[in-house]
Amino acid sequence: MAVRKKRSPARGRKTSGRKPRAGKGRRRQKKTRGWWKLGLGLLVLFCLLVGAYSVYLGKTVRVKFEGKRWASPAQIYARPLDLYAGAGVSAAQLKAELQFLGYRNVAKVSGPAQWSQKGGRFTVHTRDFAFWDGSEPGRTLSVDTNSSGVTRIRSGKKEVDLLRLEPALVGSIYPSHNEDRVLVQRADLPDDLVNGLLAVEDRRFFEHGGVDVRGIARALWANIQAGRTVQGGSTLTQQLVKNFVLTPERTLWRKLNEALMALIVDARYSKDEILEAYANEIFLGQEGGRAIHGFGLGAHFYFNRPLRELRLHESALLVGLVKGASYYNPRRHPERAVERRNLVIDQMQAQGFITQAEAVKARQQKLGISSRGATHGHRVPAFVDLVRRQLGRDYREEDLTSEGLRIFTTLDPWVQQRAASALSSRLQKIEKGRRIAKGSLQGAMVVASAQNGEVQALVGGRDAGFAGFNRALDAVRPIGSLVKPAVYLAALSLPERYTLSTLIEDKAVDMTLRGGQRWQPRNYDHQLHGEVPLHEALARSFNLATVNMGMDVGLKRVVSTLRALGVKRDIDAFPSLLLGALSLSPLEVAQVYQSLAAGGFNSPLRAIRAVLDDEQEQLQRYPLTVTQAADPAAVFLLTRNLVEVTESGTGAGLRNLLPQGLQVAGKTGTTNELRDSWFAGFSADRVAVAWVGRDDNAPTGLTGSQGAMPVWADLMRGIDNLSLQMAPPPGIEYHWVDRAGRLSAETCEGAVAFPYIAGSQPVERSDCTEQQGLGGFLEGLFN
Amino acid sequence: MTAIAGLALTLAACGGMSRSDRPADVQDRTAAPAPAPADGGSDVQIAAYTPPAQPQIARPQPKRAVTVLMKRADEQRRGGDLDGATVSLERALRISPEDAVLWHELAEVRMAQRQYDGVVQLAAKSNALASPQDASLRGSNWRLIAQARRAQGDVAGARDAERRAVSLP
Repeated sequence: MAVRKKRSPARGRKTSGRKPRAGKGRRRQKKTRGWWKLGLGLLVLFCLLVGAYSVYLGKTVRVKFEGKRWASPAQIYARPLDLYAGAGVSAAQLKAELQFLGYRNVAKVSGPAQWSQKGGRFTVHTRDFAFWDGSEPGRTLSVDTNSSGVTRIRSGKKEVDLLRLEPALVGSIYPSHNEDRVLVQRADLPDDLVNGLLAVEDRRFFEHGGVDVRGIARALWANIQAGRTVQGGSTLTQQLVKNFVLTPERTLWRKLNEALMALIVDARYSKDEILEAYANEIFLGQEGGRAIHGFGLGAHFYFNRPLRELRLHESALLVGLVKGASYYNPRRHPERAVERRNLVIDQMQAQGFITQAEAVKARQQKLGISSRGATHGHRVPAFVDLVRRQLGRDYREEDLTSEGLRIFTTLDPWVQQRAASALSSRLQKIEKGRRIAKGSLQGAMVVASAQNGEVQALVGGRDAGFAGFNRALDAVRPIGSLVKPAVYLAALSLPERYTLSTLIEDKAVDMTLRGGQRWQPRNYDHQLHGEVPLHEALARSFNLATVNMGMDVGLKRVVSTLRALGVKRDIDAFPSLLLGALSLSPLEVAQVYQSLAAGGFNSPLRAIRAVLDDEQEQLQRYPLTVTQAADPAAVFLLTRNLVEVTESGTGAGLRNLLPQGLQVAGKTGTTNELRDSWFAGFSADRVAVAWVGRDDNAPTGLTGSQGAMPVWADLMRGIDNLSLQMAPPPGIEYHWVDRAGRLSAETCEGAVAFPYIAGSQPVERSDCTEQQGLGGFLEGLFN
Repeated sequence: MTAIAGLALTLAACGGMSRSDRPADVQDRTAAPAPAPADGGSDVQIAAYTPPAQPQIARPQPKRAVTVLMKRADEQRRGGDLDGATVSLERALRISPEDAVLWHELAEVRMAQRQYDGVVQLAAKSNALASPQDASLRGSNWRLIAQARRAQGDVAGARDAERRAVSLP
């Protein structure tokens, strides 16, 4: 539309451009006068049209400058890291955290955002940061660590009980035209950056009126001399105008428009305003579909730190990129980038902005580019996706992409990194070890805090940096035996009928389902195990025992248990549900296991803690809520049983994969023809779910313990975990029973102490009593 | 280029926590004290599972960090900043997620906010984590539950909770 509108004054100009011809004689004189009149009229018309057009352009300019000039994308922060004596933050993690934040590793700490390390002792000068619940002052700290975590923190001679590092910026929600930026103000622009811009792009910026006639002449002369375009005469103002309104066509008409608008901009706004606008508008790079705009984001994108912390050579590189961000792309063409950067430094020196010594030093520096998109590079697209979906319930899309919201999330970048690498490297190993076609396996992971449901990490595929199909949220797959804990919880919630030692029958199942179909499930080992204690049936994941017990408990109870644990999806109450004919995403599974991990208290999985507007006002907080989903005593029994799974059941392989002494609870899951391999489980403070399968849903050849379980273990081994303490909640009693589930003495052969919900312990006594003990057992043998 | 200059002219014509050298308390990150001894009979091929081994390295308990936050929450609550108190307690719970006292404190804040459902749930959570010997904390939780139920009009439920509060061992 705008383009068509711009045409009309052009016609006017053309008309006025007709030159009056010379007249002959009176008639001619009259004619000439007539021509003059016409000419004058046309000039007036031209002025009017240009005037009207200028008003139109002026309006466009104003809209750009004063209205929603730049959509300011919502910025997404990770969780801030709490540091205190006793924090499970190893030296390796602390180092990684400081790198996420773009702190510089230096020999001697002399200012903010720097750190040094000597053995287990870190010296860190933190940045100031305003949190939603108060601010944390920047200061120099000494942090002592050993291999289990932080042992002591001091600031000078004073002990520091608690502090938090600023949260890392991990992403943003930019609009559909894909312009991402971090808005900066004039005051944020480092002098080096401004000087560099002046030196190479627009020397007379502070003198000219938006268009630099002398600059144009100089450029023209240089170009004529060179016989090609070697210099541009565009001012910063013209470049700005070009960027934010006009189409990229290279026509004289566009040039004129550009100049006209530059004049209007210059007349209406101060140089500082123009500079600020330029600094936010300029295109500085591309990452996939995401366009990097403005120096604020540029600094994060290339150096992973805020603009004000850039040094001379870094600012010079950003200035150099203005000329051609893809041609001088420092990641792809480092030599070109160095050359361009040094040219900027030379120009700055030539024009007296920096001394020769400064220039020499700056030219010697390496480019210093952070590894590709270190933290702000959207390496957590799956998590950002979850944040977006959760925000989508409360915010409009345009507010997210333009209002400069600051979103404080629950993402733990360290856990995220460990999870992503656990998945990708383990899948590689499995493919190699089992001769599975390279790259055919896929997977997903979810990690959340056990007690409060904060999502700490979300991996949507083996290439976690790739924003494709988000399997953690969208791969909705049958969960197989992962459903069994819900079946057993339903049973254990009926203590008068079921306890851990209750014998249940692992016998053939032959049912006619609704619709006349016959259902004859089998055990994984195709055996019948007869009467087995309940705990063993779960630990060894016996299908038939589970179906028999589940039918006795009732499908309705199983369904309502699943609901209480947090399943929102429709659940078909068919007998096959008992063996996992229920499809859930890894995130939904994580919700179910969170409720178990929290002792029967469901906390909706949250990815966001708080949302602030661009003026630091809190718009929303997502508080911790808990809802009791099951009797804590019954959940305790189940957890004890799920620990057994990992110690001696289908998950016994974990013993060799986890650190010694880390007690966890979990369950393997395998679906028909080995299409899906699952593992879900928890320590005292984290719950995690891993899924391994194929996108085409073909069999993988992997059971739960062969695919997902080692992925899960690799993750848990790589991060700090509190071991399950198994402290019984009120109402639990321990009793010694024999294998047949009868009360017996501690000293009797095969006697095991099981927890019972008080009053549900067996009443029948074994033949072996306290007095008889081992002797009685021997007697029995010889009888 | 000259056109631009000309145009410009024409346009012009047209007008236009801090102390303490106390020895740090030490917690055991990976020990399992619970009685969870061997199981499985002679005819099953399951290895009996033994309590896990003792942990490798100890580190201080986060007591001081939690204390700082509890104090802060307390001040905030007394100053009427209930949201602030919530934030401080949630932060403390991230550090020490199985601390029954913290869950109780959070329930107290919910009570001050008159969010009675929350009170009941959080107090129940605290009870589930409280040591069975800690009758005082469990009693406080039951009294909170009673208070919340009464405020919700559930008189019978409140009475039941009150009975439980006094009948604790």
